Amino acid sequence: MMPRQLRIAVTPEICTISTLLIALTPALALIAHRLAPGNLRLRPLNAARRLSAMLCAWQPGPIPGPAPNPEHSMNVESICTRDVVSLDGNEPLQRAALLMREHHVGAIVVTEIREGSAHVLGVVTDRDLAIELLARGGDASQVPVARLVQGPPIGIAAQADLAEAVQAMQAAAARRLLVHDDEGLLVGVLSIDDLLPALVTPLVGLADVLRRGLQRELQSRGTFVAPMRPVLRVPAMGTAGWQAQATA
Amino acid sequence: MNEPLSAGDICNRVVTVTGPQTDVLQAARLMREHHVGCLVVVEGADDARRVIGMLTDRDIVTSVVAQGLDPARLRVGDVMSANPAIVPEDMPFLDLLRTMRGRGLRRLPVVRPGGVLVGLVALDDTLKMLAEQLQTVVEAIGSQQRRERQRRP
Repeated sequence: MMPRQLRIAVTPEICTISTLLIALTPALALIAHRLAPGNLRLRPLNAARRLSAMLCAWQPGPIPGPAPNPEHSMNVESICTRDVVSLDGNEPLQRAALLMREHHVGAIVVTEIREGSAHVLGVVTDRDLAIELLARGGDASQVPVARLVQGPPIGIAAQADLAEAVQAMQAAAARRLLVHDDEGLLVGVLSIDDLLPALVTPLVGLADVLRRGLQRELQSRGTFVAPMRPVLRVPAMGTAGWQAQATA
Repeated sequence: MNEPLSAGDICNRVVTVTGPQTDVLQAARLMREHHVGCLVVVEGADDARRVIGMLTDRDIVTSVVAQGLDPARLRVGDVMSANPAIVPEDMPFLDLLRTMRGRGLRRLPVVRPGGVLVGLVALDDTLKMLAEQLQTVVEAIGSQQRRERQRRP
């Protein structure tokens, strides 16, 4: 897989949340993940290190935090659906419908046996079944499910990150991608419904940062009270002592 | 004028509807023709269409195709989800989302008093809307920064 080149222009000013947002718009959730404590060591980028150093009061070195948790790594493999229902392409549509009902899924993987192993032909959804079969007529118990598969399946590598997954879905105009490992074995299916929580959670976290920032400021600095005006003592004419006199 | 965004503001007012007596085969063709995944089942005429059910492509697959039944011999009324959840057109956007969450629904018909259909809200449409708003927020931050530099170079 081609290494990703990520360049973030960081000026010497204090890194604010807004600077962060500007730099990271194209892949907000992805970058937000990379800056989370503990995950910097996984895929170090010079720019990311600099940003994180600024966020942590200019201390160089690794950010203290929880040990990297493989489940938190935001690649496609960690969020895709691994329980995949599959069916041989020669089986009738009715069988596909039955599997969808039994397993409460809206899509199944269609396979064919070639050279002794099952190869993926593509994905068939409940929508495909309902529309194509019934619109064209035909007996659900006779039509092989392979007939409903349109074109080669759109796949994505298990190690791909979320931004790449989004781009792949955009390019294919597909809600689902078949996730495969380096050896070309199916690992799972990634749908928009899998991606969305992964992209939104960091965003919600970002909003939480703003809330916590205010809280921290209130705690550390307290409520700002204007100092009392200094009291000037001036000798009063004609009297023996000092008199306190507030300034105008 | 300070009303929050409501279901009526964001719903799609072009809704593909059908009656309970339509056969399921015809209903499937209707879905294909209009490129939709569900039909709102109504009774009553034009301005007084009351919502009585929802039929999705999924319903057709799990109830008809899986059972090996003939779609031409079944009526929409036999297969639809009757008495579906509906929302009033003045329901605030966040409450609408919470309703979808609470009931595990992706689509909700929006109605006027009396249960008369005015539109349909889909979860996917709310995503598009929110993404557009977020994108605009980000662009606003960008233009604020540019303005800052212009004023104090």
